[in-house]
Amino acid sequence: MGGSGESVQHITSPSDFDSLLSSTRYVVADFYADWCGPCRMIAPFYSQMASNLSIPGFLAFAKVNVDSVGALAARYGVSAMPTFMFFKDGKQVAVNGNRIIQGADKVSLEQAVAKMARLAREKADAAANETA
Amino acid sequence: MAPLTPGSDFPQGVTFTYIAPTGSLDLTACGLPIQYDASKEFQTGKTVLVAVPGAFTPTCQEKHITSYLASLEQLRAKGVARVIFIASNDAFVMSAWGKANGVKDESILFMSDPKAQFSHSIGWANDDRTGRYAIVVDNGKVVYAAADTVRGSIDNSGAAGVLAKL
Repeated sequence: MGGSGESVQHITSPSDFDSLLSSTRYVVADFYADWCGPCRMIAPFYSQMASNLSIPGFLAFAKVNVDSVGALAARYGVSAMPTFMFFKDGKQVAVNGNRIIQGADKVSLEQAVAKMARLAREKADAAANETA
Repeated sequence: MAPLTPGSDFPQGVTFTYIAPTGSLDLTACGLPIQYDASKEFQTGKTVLVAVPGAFTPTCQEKHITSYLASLEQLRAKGVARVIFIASNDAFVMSAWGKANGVKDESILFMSDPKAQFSHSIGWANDDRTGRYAIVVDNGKVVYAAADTVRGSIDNSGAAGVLAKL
């Protein structure tokens, strides 16, 4: 599922996020706030990556509004926005040595997502071959 | 309202709000205020808590914070684990004040005493603003508490005054 449509997963509650974590092997999460300028600046880029790279069941891009879902922001100790986090098989992991990317750092985010996408694609292909 | 006296326990239930420093002074990230359980944190180690009437205001900016910035090493040498500046300004303003003074790490933490609530509770506040005072807490016990009420003076709450008592 690439190309058109809204591919970003807007998270509405902690259980919503937990569902995504258990249904998708690799998840990128963007913790943001509506009033945060840097978040708005990087939002289109994040949406574009979601459109181009999402793989159902293997790679998803989530957005968590820290004001609406404060419990999730607290769970992951988010103290600045945007904060990007990476999950593999439900657990937070470091990508390229970074457990989180704090701030609208497009370069670091792009590199981390590229790696996640490569790993997700390998897993997706392997799964497809198994059932073929 | 209970004034703090040396020898007494630091009161229970005291919380402030702050934005955790991100190690940078730039503006590519927005801070999210989190709560700081002062009563709990002050149980361990030596804390210097300094209150100023207002971030960016004259005496506070020119004399008070500068005295602490210059004395950080001496304070550490005397075993101070944390230096926290509070004012009634919100956590966003306090965070910006810290950055404006070049502090991007946890060497001095900048926190908000919302509505000067804690400061009122110890009798050192004026209307919306906190008073100017310094408190030293050693493993939960107050060992120094003094306020400056003379306009422009930081004799009791400036770094020199506090160092002399450590």
